[in-house]
Formats: sequence, C-alpha cells, structure tokens
Amino acid sequence: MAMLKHACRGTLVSALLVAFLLMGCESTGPKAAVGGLGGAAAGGLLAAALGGKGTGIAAGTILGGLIGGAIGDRLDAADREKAHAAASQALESVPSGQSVAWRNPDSGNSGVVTPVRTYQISNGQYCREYTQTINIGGEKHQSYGTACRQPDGSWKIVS
Amino acid sequence: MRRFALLLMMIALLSTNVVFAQGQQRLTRKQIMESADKNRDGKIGRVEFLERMREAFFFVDANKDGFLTLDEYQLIEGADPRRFARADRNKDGKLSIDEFLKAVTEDFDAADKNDDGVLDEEEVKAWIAD
Repeated sequence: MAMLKHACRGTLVSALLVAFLLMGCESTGPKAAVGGLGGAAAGGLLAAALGGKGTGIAAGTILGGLIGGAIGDRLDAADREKAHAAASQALESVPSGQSVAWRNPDSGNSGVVTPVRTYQISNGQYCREYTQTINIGGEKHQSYGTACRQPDGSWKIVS
Repeated sequence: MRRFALLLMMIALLSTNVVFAQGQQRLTRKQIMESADKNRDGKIGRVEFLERMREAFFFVDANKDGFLTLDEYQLIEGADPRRFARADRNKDGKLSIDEFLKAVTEDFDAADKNDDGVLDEEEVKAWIAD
C-alpha cells in the first residue's frame, strides 16, 4: 500500500512536471517570435533609417532663428540662404549622424548641419535635434538646436 | 507545431537580404550594424535600436502625418501585412509610434537569444543576412 502510495505520488509529480514543461512551451514570452513586424522588416527599417531621404518630399523652409545673434550678423544674405537650404535638407532627408555642408565661395564662409536625434512629440509632430558648425573668417562657431516639422512641411526652430 | 512553423517562417524572413525598397540602397549587415551601434561597442543595445527605429518611422512615414499606413510600411523590404495588422492594436488601419515601437521591441527581444538586452554580432548575424 505504501509502495502504491509512493508510486502514485511519483506519477503525480511527473505529471505536474510534464504539465509545467508543456505550459512553458505554450507560453508567449518574448522569444515566441509571434509578434513584432518580423526580423526582415526590422532589418529593412534599420536600412531605411540609415538610408534616410525616403520621403521624396522636397525640403521645406526653415522658420525661426537658425542663425541668430552676433554670428548671424556676420553672415550675408547668400550665406544665410545656403545655411537655410542645408539645414532644411538635413532635417528633412538626412539620417542622424550624417551632415549636410554649405559653402559660399564669394564670402568664404561655410557650415555644416547634422541631425543628431529624431522623435515625435505628443501631438505626433516630428522634432529633430541638430548640431550646426559655422566657419566665418576661419573661426568655428558651434551651436545645438531643435527644430519641429510643421504641417506645411517647414521646419520651425524651437530652441 | 504552430509555433515551430512560425519560427521557421521567421528564420526564412531573416535570411533575406536587407533592402530599402524605395530605393535605391542595398545595405550589408555590417552597414546596418554600424549605423545602429552608436557607442561603437560592437553590439546593438535596446536604446540604440529603438532610437534607430524612431528614425526609421520618420523616414518611412512618407506624408509625415505621424502614422505609418500599410502602403508606407510595404515600401520596406520584408514587410508582412499580417504582421502589420497584428501590430495595429487599436485596428484603425495605421500604426502609431507607440504601436510601432511595441512591435519592433518584440522583434528585438526575439533576436536577443540570450536575453542580455543587447544584440551581439552572432545574434545580428542570425538576424540579418548579408
């Protein structure tokens, strides 16, 4: 009788163990690979992020103070135009970490705009942080800012 | 059995080359790895991955309305409409950034075989074919 009881207990333990293992097999943990967009798509998305320029939409205008203060005063109209065009292209079409450069051969001034981070704010609007380096007469001036994309396709400098 | 079939399907998907269908570029695994590995430690961390995915969302969202439609998503190589439908949790026919990030986080977790929160070279190799 004692042996039977022991055997039954053993069977019960085995059954529970099997049930537990089966339960483990059926769980939908992070390794289940049933969710997500799929590895190939994730790879394609990483490629998209690297490739940038995916929109086909022409870069818009820049609103606000891309170049202000004393630095701005030292740039002529052509410098400003080129700087705005470079910033617009960088923000609209260039992945973070890549730069768009501008140069005005007449003034000798030049610059580089580099997006560094992209995110959405609560209303769904896209914002991008960027760095900007401007060379005026051999002097380098660096700045950091944030621009948010407006519904009309322009980018507004917000900080 | 169903899970095994799904796993096989996933492996098949992972073995495809990575192409940005809009374009123009066929990128190697090495290029993709380097693009996501911002701190250059040879691994893709979750934060690095999600940062790249936020960027991808921006570029794939062609009309910049803040959502991914199926048409926009299908410009990505390897896009699977069934997966898009599953990721669209509120069934409004488009992916918000939150739905998108939840879905790609599941992809990251699936690729992170040893659950250490980063994708090392071997895991990336198993994930994205050259």
